[in-house]
Amino acid sequence: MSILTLKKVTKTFGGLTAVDNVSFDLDEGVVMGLIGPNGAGKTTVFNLITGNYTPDHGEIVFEGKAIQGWLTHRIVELGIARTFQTIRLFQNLSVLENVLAGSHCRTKSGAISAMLRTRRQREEEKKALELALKQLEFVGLRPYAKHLSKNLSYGNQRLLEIARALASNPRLLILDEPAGGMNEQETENLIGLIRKMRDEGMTILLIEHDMGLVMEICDHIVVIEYGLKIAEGGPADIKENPRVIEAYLGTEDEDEEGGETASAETMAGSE
Amino acid sequence: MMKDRRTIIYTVIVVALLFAPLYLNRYWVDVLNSVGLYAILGLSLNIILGYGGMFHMGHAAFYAVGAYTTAIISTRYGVPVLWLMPLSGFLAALFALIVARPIIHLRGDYLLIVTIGMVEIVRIALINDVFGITGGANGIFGIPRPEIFGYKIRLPHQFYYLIFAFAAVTVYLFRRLENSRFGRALTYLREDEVAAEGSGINTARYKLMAFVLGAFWAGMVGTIFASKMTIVSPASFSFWESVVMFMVVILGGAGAIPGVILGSFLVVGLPELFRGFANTRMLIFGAAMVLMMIFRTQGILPPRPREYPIEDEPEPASESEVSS
Repeated sequence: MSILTLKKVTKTFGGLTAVDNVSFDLDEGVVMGLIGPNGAGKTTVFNLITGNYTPDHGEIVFEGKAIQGWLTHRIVELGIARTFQTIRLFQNLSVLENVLAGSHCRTKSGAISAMLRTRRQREEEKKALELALKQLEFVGLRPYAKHLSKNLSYGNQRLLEIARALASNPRLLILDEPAGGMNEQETENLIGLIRKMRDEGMTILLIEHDMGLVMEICDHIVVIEYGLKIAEGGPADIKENPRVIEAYLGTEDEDEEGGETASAETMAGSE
Repeated sequence: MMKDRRTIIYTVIVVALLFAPLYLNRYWVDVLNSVGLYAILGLSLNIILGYGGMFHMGHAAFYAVGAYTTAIISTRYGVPVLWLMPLSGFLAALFALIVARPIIHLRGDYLLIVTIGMVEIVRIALINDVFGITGGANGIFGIPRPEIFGYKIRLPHQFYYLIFAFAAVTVYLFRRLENSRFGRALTYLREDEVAAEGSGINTARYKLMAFVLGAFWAGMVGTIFASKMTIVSPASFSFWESVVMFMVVILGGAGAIPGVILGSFLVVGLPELFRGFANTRMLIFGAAMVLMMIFRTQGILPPRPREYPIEDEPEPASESEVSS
């Protein structure tokens, strides 16, 4: 059962075609990896799904609804949450308040009930707080609840982004380089976390350059290069796929010119 | 400890304000009245500028709509002025809804320029006697005094209690607003609009709501202003008026209720203290502002983090130190 379908999605910026006729199906309950060299258009695909950009052509279908062109907050409301490649936390707010931002679309009370502090408003607030603490507990940041988010370590900031996304109670979670800047131990922890989320029934789509992580947790991988989908399949197939190896390592000719001899894994590390 | 000290300071200030008319002469009570009005105006602007981070320098336009609504209806139809407070607020809010809708997507300095344009357009429209009801450059005279249960409010110290009671109610309500889902949503969009939208917050709607609520309050202050002066004219709602409100918020501490109130005392009250220096007082004042902007950019009393009823949990035997 597919939860998200991209049908021939194209996005151009001026003369540059960032995403070119990309189609794929994402099945429910699956962890899918979206990989490709730098500048391949991976983040653009994410931005199209989450409504930060509108595709020029094509359709994006989430749970049977065509969502291309929707505003981001409506897409979040529908059940797609994301994290950002360049961490975008609310730097000067506490860790707890960052998570509360995620629960915004699942709560209702407005300005007037806040001023009157109605019973429903107080109950809702209490519930949102409990839920936020639960998410913090889940990612292991509960002890830092009162800290300012900018004071967290890099790895923990990434985890906080995940907690904030989870607070919106998504069915599809989109992670843009979740392991970026994490050390080995933190990455291990992250892998465990992603597994746990999948086991709870969440569908996960991620971009990651850490091939170790991608091969370990992804059930399905889509590879794009210059905006085009060049391969799709399970981790084992992708590793063997000549087109993918070419994309990452270059062809024989390019090899001599550019002197690129790095393996896929080490390249990923240096990015 | 800090909290106790704050409570003591606030208590002293409130008590001092409560009895102020007893030991101050009429002139100084009137200065305090202005301070109070600007404090409320500042608090209403604070929703837009402080919490929402939108550079709005046309707040006097909403203030004007409220004041003129009161002036026109009370002089023409004899409606008691205090009854007109909600209506003045409502019309100011409606005006904000209409004019802010097309401009809220503008950022920073662009919004600033457009809002300056807005307040100027309003002032010029008032001078040109728009719809033939604003009285042109002379404005409108003979606005009745407010009455509470048949008790007419006329003298400065009577207005003093009206204004400060309204200010107290405002502080009480806005404090709750600040510590709510609504208040947080505005702070999120100030901090990072893309992340706020990406977290599921309808940023366009909240920006508009901030304008509407801020305008509603400014409109209600307009009612008090109109009945206190008994005359409104376009000169009272110039661009300079907007600048003063802007300064009140920025100087005191954008996003902080105590900061805005302090800002009002400094921006509106302090120049009166320096009257003795005649012409140099604005110079001194300007220099003080410049120094402030260099050494304390977040304002004199910047907002403190919100507090939540959660327990502290000890940090783990620091993994982060090992990992860093």
